Amino acid sequence: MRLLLQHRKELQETEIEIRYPNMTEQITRLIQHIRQYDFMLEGFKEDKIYQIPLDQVCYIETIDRKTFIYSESNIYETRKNIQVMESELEETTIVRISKSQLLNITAVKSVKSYPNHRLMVELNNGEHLLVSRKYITDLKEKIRR
Amino acid sequence: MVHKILKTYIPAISMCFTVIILLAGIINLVTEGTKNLFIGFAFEVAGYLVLTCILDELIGRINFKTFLGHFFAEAALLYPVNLFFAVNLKWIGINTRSIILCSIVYFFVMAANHLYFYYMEKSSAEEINQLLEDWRDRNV
Repeated sequence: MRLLLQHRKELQETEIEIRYPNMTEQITRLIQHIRQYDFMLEGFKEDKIYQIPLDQVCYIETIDRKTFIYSESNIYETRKNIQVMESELEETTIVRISKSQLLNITAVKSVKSYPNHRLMVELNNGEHLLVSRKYITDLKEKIRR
Repeated sequence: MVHKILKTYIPAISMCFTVIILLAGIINLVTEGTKNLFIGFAFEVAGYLVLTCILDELIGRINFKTFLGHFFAEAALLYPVNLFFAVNLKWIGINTRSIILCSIVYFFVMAANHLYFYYMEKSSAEEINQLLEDWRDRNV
C-alpha cells in the first residue's frame, strides 16, 4: 500500500481519498476507522456547546436521567438519552456494557474477570468500568468486527 | 483440549444428563403411574437447583469485590437451604455423620462450581484481551 500525503492550503477541510483495485476487508476496516474520526458527538459543559470527536470519547453514562459523555479529561452533558445514542452509534466503536453505560472500545486498555460473571474494563486513562454479564457477548462481537 | 472439555463437554453432559433423567421420570410417571423413589429424588433435586438459581440471582445483586467474598457469602447463604431440603425430603438421615457428609459434599460442589466459573471467566477475559490486541493491530 502506498501512502500519499499532500499539503494543500486552499482546502476547506481535510479530504481522504482511497484508491483501490479491489475492495478488501482491510480497506473496509480502514474506512470504518477513518469514519470514526468524522463522527462528532454534541455535548455541553458550563453552557458552552462542544463537538467531541468520537475517538476522544471514553464512555457515555446515564446518571439520574442525565446522559454524560466522558473523554480522557472532560465530562460533557448531552440532551440525547442513552438508547438514542446507542442506536446512532451502532456502526461505530461504541458498545453497550450495562443498562446505563456505553463504552468506546478504542479507550480500552485491558479487561479482567470480576465476581458474579462480570468483567472489569481498565481504560487508557486508568478508570475502571464493569461490564454486565448480559453484554459480554456484545463486547466480544464488537471487537471481532 | 482442557478448554474444550470445560467449555463444551462438561456443560453438554450436564444438560443431557438432566434432561434425560427428567424426561425418563416423566415417561415413567405417565406410562407406569408408579412413584419411583429415584425419579422422585431427581425431581426434588431439580426443584432445589431451580431455587438455588433464583437465590444466586438475588445474591448476585450484591456488589462483591472479590471472588472469595462471593463464594463464601453464597455458600453460607445457601447452606441452610441445602440442609432444609436434605433433611425435610429425607435425602439424608438425621444424624451427625450424615449431616457432616452432606455438608462436605455441599461445600465441595459449591467450590467446584465457583472454580469452574472462575476459570471460564478468566479465560474469557484473556480471549477478549487477545481480540483487543488483534483489533489494535488491524486498526492502528
